[in-house]
Amino acid sequence: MAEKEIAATRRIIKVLQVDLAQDLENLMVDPRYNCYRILVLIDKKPLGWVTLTVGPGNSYIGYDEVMSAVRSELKLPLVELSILNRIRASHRVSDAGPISIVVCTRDRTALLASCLNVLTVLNYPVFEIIVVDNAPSSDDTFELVKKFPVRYVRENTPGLDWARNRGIQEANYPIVAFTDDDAHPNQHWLWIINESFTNPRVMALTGYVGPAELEHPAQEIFEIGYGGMGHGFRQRYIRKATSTDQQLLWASSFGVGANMAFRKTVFQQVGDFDTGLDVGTPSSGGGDIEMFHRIVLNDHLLLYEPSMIVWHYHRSTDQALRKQVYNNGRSFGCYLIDCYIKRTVRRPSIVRFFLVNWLYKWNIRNLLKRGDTIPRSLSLTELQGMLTSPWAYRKTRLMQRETVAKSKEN
Amino acid sequence: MPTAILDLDIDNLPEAIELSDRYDKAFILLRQNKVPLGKIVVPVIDNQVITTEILSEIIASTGPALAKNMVLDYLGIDRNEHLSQSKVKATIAVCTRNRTSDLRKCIEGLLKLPDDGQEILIIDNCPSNNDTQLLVESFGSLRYVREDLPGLNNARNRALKEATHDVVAFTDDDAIPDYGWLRALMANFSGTQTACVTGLTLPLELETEGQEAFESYSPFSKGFKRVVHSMASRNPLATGQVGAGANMAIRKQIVQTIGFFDEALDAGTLTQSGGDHEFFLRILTAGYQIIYDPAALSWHRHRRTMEETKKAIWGYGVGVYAFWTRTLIEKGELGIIKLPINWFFHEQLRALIKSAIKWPGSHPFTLVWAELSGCIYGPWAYLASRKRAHKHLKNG
Amino acid sequence: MDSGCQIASVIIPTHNRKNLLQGLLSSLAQQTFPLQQMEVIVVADNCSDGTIEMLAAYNAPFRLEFTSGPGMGAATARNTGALRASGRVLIFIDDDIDPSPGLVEAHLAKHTASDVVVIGYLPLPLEEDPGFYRILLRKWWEDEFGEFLLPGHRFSYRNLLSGNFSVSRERFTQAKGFDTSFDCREDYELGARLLKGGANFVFSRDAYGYHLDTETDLKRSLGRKRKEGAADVLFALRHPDLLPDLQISKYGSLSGKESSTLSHYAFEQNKVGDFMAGHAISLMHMLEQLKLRSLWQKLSNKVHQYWYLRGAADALKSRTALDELISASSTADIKSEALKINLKLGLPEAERILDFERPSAMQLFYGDQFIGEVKAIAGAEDLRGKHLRPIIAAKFLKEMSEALALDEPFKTHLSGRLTTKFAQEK
Repeated sequence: MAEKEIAATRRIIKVLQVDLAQDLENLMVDPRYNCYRILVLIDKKPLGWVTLTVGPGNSYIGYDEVMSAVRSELKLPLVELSILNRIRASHRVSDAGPISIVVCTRDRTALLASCLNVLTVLNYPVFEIIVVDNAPSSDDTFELVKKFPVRYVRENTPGLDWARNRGIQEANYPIVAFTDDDAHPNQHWLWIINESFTNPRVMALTGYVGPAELEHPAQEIFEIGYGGMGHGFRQRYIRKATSTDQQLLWASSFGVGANMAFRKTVFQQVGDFDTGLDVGTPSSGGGDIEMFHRIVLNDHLLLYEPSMIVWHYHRSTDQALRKQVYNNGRSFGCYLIDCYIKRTVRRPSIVRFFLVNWLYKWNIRNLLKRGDTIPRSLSLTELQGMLTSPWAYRKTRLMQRETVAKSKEN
Repeated sequence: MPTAILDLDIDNLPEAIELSDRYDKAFILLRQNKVPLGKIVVPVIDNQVITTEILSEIIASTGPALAKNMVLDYLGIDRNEHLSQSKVKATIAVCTRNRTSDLRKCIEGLLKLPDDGQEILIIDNCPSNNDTQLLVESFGSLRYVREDLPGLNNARNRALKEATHDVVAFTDDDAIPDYGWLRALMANFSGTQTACVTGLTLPLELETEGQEAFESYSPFSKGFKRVVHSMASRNPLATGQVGAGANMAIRKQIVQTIGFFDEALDAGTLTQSGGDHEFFLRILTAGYQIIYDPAALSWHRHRRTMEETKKAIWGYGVGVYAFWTRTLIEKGELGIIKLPINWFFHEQLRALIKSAIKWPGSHPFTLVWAELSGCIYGPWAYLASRKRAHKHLKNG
Repeated sequence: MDSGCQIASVIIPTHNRKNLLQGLLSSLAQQTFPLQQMEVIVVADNCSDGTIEMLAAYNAPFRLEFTSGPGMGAATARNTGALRASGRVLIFIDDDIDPSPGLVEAHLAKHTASDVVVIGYLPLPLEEDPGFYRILLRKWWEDEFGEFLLPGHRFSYRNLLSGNFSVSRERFTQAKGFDTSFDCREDYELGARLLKGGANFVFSRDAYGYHLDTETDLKRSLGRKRKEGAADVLFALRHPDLLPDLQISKYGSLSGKESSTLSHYAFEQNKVGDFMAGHAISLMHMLEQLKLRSLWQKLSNKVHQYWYLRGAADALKSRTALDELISASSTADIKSEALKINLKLGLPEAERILDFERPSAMQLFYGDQFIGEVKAIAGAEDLRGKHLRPIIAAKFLKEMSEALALDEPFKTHLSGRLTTKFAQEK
């Protein structure tokens, strides 16, 4: 009885992906879940999500049921894709070029193991995996990595961007792809990356990041309420010439560090990741978006390719979620301060962006909005994070200077 | 920097397009089976436009039309029926004055049209020399008519009187009609109520600042959807969005009901322009239809210098107010008073303020101001022009 | 050929329009159709302007018959003409029509089967500077014909315009001709019976004749509206199933405030109503002077509605009678079932099914995807194969493109047995 009540009140979501070009049968239902959130793809191209609720006692979701949900919820992308397929110039099937994958990690062996399990069996002919162990507190990661056919590199300076830069240094191949230790890509990830870089103008590539699971309320809130990490299913070529200052500043909409790839030569032209930023420093993040911003500002082309899919394990506890959102507020603030100091775009635009787009449209409006999507306390948490960012920025720059000085001494 | 003009077939997109290094943007017309479906403006980077990079823009601009064509193909409905020869024959009329180099290109374009038995009539309006006559005679198969009364509307009326066929298709001398232009115009006359058909006019080149300013300030294009304008579908007095005289065809008979073009209006008179829109107004208020069909495509060379552009836009302001004045005092159309008020408060005032404070994306102040000052002059221009026209009439 | 058995009989009812009739006859003499295979029957109804004398003296290059009678009305006159006709096809032309030289030939060209009814085109000649009323009158006619020309148009009984149409003698006789109890709307009524009998209405633009009607003005139009109101009452009694399509159905006491105000004045306060309607016309003249088009049109609609209701009141006497008429008809409403059509059978097959079944309504599917429903329309012909594609193109573009788009991945990627690749295990 009690169990039934729970089942009736709380939905437990299972995340799936279905490629309509391949998977054409009924889906078996796992009795632990009562709701299925399905990413629908057609021949590797994602169309969007459909959500199906499963009544108690059903052992499978009918193929028809999936199709009728697709029909009613994904009409527009379907028609668009079909048209796109018609007009797309017959593209050459390009040869597989070698790709380096960099995974930066720190003391999270369980997550890293599941990530490596997927990475090592990716369907692609030539690639290497570099695990950068960032200022570890033990040898656990080193021991774990031994079991996999990957390269282990240790970066002792704490800070994700130190680790990323180290990964770039170590990479042997002209394309460097990044994913996180708490994420894993889709099977055809490297094929999509390879294909996207056949356009010689594409210097940076980002993709869709979906939730690997939505078992916990915190994950559901982050993905469905807060917006998650995905940025839609439309391909976008992002370049300075066609973007407004506001668009350029909203670099967090270009992609996420958990799913990005670069032509290695781009770092020679725009420099490495900013070691003052991101996790492991007081700024707590922002290294990835600052890099996107910098690449686009230097007149390079960045492609957001939704077919390039990575699944990310969102924070599963309330506390961890809160911390992440707090960090988001703080790191984005640091990134904006950085833009302001470096005058990457006109300063009035930055002030306007901060006040109108971020503070008002995102934070205040979320706070005022009634409803169950984003809990208000979460918006407040982000705002708190934002308020600490000037302090964090100052501190992170001081620390960065010290570290650099120290490394020079050594 | 100038903008390149490209004309692409959606079913045969090239992988990349190489362009001269003087362009930083490309204006791309997208067609399917010769029919214009949409246009996009994209950046040119390293002298190239790469197709995969603009696919989403292409879909955004032409998606619904492509989806429609997909269904029509499935249904086996011929979507190019309007590009075949129609029963009605046409007289093409070009009204010109002392612009032989443009006229030559225009005529060359006209001679490339499929031959459906059309007649080509060149009306030489009050020329200052015989260059035009010599040029026209050098082509042989054209008819040359000289109209000595100055004014574009006099020339247009002369064309309506001289034309052999039932429909007169007008093109400006500085435009080059597309291959399917005439057939697309003519196909629309199969409806019984169509008195006039207008077409899509796109810029032939955007090489100078003046041309870019003109195209962004007052583009001729009225979109890529066929629209049937009638008394029932719109305020018949507001004809600005119906089309323009640079690309229109008129069923000759209609003058029996609504009369000829007003000699006091349009180029060559004090009123500068407005003759076409005033004529459209009379068509609509008489209960007939005007069809705008983007399949009837023509390429127009805009004025090259900023000075000329400014003058043209000033002239539009004059013309609009002149024809409104005419409509009020000659036709007694009280409803016309609403239009200048709406225009001023909903568009002009905002444009003026925006351009004065240099709001991003606003038009140059000089252009906005030119149009407004034209408007102020318009009513006087009409009254003076009418006096002159009456005098001509008496003397003639 | 035996002169007693013609192919085409042109029947012209006329009333005191000698000159127009004379012009009509001379236009008939110019027909491209062989004149010896054609006869013309003029039925002069209560003519006092010398029409009979003109006809008697007329030297026609075709067989010309005429008959006259006192004040019988158009319906009786046409029936009388039909009785005397010997042709296979009867072409009815009004006396204010100026037929084009190809008119008879164009009518005959469409008579490929005995169930065909051909409706000819009646353009009004261009007028110099017409007033508001004449502009709208011309527009009404042209809108009507424009609709006939639309691909996929479902012809309605209202599309039978008696000024210029043709029907086989066989059909006309079977239907027993026009119902002579109608003073006006007799053409719609015949149209209704012909359609119910399975007639196939077609429109011929080539069978055109100029409609030389210069007399109809606002005043006449209002007078006619009153007659139409009365005729519609009779019509509703004859054809209760078509009531939903008649204007009177919208004026019951359950209808909206505006229409109930109008019917209140028409039925119960007609002295006040007539007074106001009369002044409304003066107001309309003023609005026309000021060229205030849309106000004029609104007022014109109101006044027309008023006189229509006055006509209905003439026939019904009271509003309760109107309500009774409406409720009696609604019980007579016949429910029709929509035919389900799966387009995956292929369009030609779907069209064949429609031509065979002739449903009044249909539901379209593409596989198991619902495309849309085409509802039954009171008074319209049943669906035919030729309606299918134009209806999809006009109404269901979006749904159809979605269905086709969803079909596509399977067409292009599916080969052999269906395989299951379950979602990636997390």
